Amino acid sequence: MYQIPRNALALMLVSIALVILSHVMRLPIWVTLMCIGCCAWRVMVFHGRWSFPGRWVKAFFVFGSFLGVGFGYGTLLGLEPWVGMLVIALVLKLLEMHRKQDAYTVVVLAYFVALTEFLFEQSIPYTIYMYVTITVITSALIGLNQAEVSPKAAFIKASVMLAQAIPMMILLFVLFPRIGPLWTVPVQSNVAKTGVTDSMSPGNIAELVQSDALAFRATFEGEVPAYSQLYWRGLVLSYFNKGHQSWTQERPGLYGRTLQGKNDVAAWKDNMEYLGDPVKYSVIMEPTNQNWVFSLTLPEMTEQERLGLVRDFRFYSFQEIRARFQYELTSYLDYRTDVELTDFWRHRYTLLPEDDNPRTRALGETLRADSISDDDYLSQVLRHFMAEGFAYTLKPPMLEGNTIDQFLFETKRGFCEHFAGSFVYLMRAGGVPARVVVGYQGGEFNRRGNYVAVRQFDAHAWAEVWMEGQGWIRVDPTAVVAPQRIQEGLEFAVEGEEFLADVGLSPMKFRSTLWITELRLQFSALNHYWDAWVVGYSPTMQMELLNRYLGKIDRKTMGMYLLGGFFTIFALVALFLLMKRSSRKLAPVEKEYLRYCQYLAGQGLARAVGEGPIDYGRRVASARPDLAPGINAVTNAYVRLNFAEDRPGEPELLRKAYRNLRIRSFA
Amino acid sequence: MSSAATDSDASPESVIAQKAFGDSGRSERFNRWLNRRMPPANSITLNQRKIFILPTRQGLIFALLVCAMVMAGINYQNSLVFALAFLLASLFMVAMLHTYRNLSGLSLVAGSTRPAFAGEEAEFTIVLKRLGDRTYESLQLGWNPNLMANANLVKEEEARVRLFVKAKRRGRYNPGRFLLQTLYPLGLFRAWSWIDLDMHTLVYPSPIAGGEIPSTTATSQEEGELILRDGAEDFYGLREYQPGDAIRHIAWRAYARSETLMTKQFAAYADRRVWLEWDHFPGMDRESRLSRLCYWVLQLNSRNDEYGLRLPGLEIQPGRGEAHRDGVLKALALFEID
Repeated sequence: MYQIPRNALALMLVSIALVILSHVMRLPIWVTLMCIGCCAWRVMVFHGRWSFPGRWVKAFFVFGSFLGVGFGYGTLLGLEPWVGMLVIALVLKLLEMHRKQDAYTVVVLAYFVALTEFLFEQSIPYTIYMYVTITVITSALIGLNQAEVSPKAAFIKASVMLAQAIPMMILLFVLFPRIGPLWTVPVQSNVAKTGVTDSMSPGNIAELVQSDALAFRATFEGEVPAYSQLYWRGLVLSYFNKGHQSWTQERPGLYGRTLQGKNDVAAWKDNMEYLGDPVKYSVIMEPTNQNWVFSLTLPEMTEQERLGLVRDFRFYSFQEIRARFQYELTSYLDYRTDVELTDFWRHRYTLLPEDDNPRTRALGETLRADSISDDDYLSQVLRHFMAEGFAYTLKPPMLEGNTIDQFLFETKRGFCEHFAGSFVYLMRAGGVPARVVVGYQGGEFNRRGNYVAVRQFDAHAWAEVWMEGQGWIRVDPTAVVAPQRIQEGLEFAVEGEEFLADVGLSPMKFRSTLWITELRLQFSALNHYWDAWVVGYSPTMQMELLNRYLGKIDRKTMGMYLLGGFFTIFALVALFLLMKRSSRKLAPVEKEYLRYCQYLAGQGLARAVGEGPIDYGRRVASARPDLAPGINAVTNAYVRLNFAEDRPGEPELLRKAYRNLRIRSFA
Repeated sequence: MSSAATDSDASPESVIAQKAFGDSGRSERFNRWLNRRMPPANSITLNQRKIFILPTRQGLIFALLVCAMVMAGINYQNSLVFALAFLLASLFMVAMLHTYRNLSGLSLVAGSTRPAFAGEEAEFTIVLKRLGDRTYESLQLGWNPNLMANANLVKEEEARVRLFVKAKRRGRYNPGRFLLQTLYPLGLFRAWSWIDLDMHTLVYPSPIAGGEIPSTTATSQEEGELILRDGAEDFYGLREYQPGDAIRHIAWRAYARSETLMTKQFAAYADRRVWLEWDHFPGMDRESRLSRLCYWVLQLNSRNDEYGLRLPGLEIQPGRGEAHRDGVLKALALFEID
């Protein structure tokens, strides 16, 4: 039976620990315990205290964990159950290492489990961690083939080999043809939906803004629009649900066709009029597991496959966004939409439930009666918000029953969703078409990366009202109550309240401390480049990049470049590895003497070619009598060490003599 | 001739007595090709002409793993999965270079050999040398793929590896090419070479007890064997007195000189010279006779007797000692072998 060398087993156990550690938060606790148990068992087997499990015990383990995973996850067909089973297979194989081949199988499984980590996490720190893990797994592989296993030597060898592999890897990464998925694969399931949702009731955005997590980053081509212009439209909510007192999306099916691609046609396409200059930007979204996509109003249609432009002028992703998602858009901040509104839509956008929030309704009717036009009514409503003592707060009081009445007439303290929701309600009560828009507002401009980072605390709700002859116009009641929120950001609007109270130590809390901000912006820019260029390196990006640097090329030429480049780099690595290196390492004595010669050469007394040390010493000593004793000491020491006899440990003598010479010359 | 000396003076047409284990897997044609490509020599430095390299089974599995990873990268459209797959693919290529490097530039020199009796294991010493700062790790070498010796050249400049190979038939034995291979560092590739350092050793007949040897015969001072014996007449020499020596043998004159008691020794000549003859074993075939003769050579040598050998067409005068024994054994080993 194959007995794995002690140190090779140690390396193997460390690599297994590292790969499992990266998954541990996702694994059920019993799997982790089982991993620890199996590793301990293997160690006991190594020490000869326990024996390998028998066939029935193994069968029980395999079958039991199979069932355990199935019941634990509720399915065997997701990504997480697969990873769970892979991890179990890895540790069980550890208990079945009868031949050297089995040890190789363990290593191969370890590599594969390491790979699955990237299906969940792709950040820079994780990537560094995984690189270290891969190095340790590789050293375990070396350990299996070393006659005398030394973990340190194996690790160094593995590091060197991986470093030598990196140039070839980069070339493959850039040039290897990226193609679309060949078949569907299980993806992460049971993940929480993050970001704004398609239902807005008082309090849920205030909850969202307690997080400093990144929502998306947008890189602008050219000037970044003013902060107050950055309204990231995500969803349009135009139906008031009486039971939940919440704003939700329009009933599906009413909107008609969703536009896909630049040349798609729909009846409502002409309702969009683009004015002014285009703003081009590219967005990298963090996974939300929802379908909402964020754009500046009014966006042009795009060729992006996954995206469709919906009747209410925002994009929708046909698949849930489960991984980081990148898209490019062009928007016109000056626009006109729906200049004509049909009666049907006028009805839908002024629709309110019967008999709820009576006081709001009454207020709307009164104000409308007092105003001469829709425009005037709008001003009156906004003036109401300004004058009646409304306050913008992160901790709005809980509302019950007719929440809009309660907010408008009793608590008067609210967050953006309170203002937007009640504003739209009021407008509709006055017969003016209005709707709620949910998304993000603002974002932090990162000069280093020339992008705007939008975080969850930038989540926002505002309103759109329809005006005769103008179409939909954006009205943000929050801007009336707390103008700083729109111009500078949330933490300036809620001064006096604790910003991000529920988040522990977050660098975002220190936006006023300059160097922390600077550091954070740098790291954030690095992350952005990582996400944009490495994680987000997609087939389209590959073609763009290659076209830019290699000219218009087809797949065949690309293949030629790939093969040619690959073998060129391979040849260079081979040359580097197999070249005969003639530079012998100098003995310490020689090194010390050479330093002495260099020092004197610096003094204008270079040693002539072929000049012996004694002659040289004599010549220098007569030229520089001040240094003569030191020079004689060095020469004597060198000659004695080199020519007289073998005296190990004496290079110190020469070093001392040389040091004395330098000290003297300095004095 | 000392037993450990190399038969470097062996004629080039010396007989290859037996094919070694490692040879069995190679065809005659391949052997001819190998001989042209790297002719036998006492000293060989490995270069690209002499090193073969192929992925191992584990290497192929590793390549499959990389393919599976690329598949995962495609299906998940995950750049970092791609990156890992490509890193391992490149590691595979780098491993090939490192495995090749673990043989390239290595020098092998024929060391000493030790003859064996047929059916036993002959010993060959191979000296591995490295030059410069190139190191070699986990080298395996031997004639029997299941029984390879390990060698490392990391700190040491040279390593001596003793290899044993079973010698089946008597004669001059050239074990043929041995296998030098390495899997280091990752075990994904195997680099190897079939090396013939042109080493030979003698294989003596396997000793088989049997037969009778006519005992001591003639007595004469010229040919006889000296036997120390009390009661003989011829003075032989002095030795230190031991209790029990006869008083009349004490050398009193020497005692007066040196104040040490010495005893005079006397000796007689007995002829203990034995002729080992082909004809002592009638009715046997050649190999059986040689085996019996070999047995008696060892017997007589251990008794420190004087013996000579007479074979058809060959006669070795009686003598004793290691060198004589080796000479006789060599004659037995090479008898009627061209």
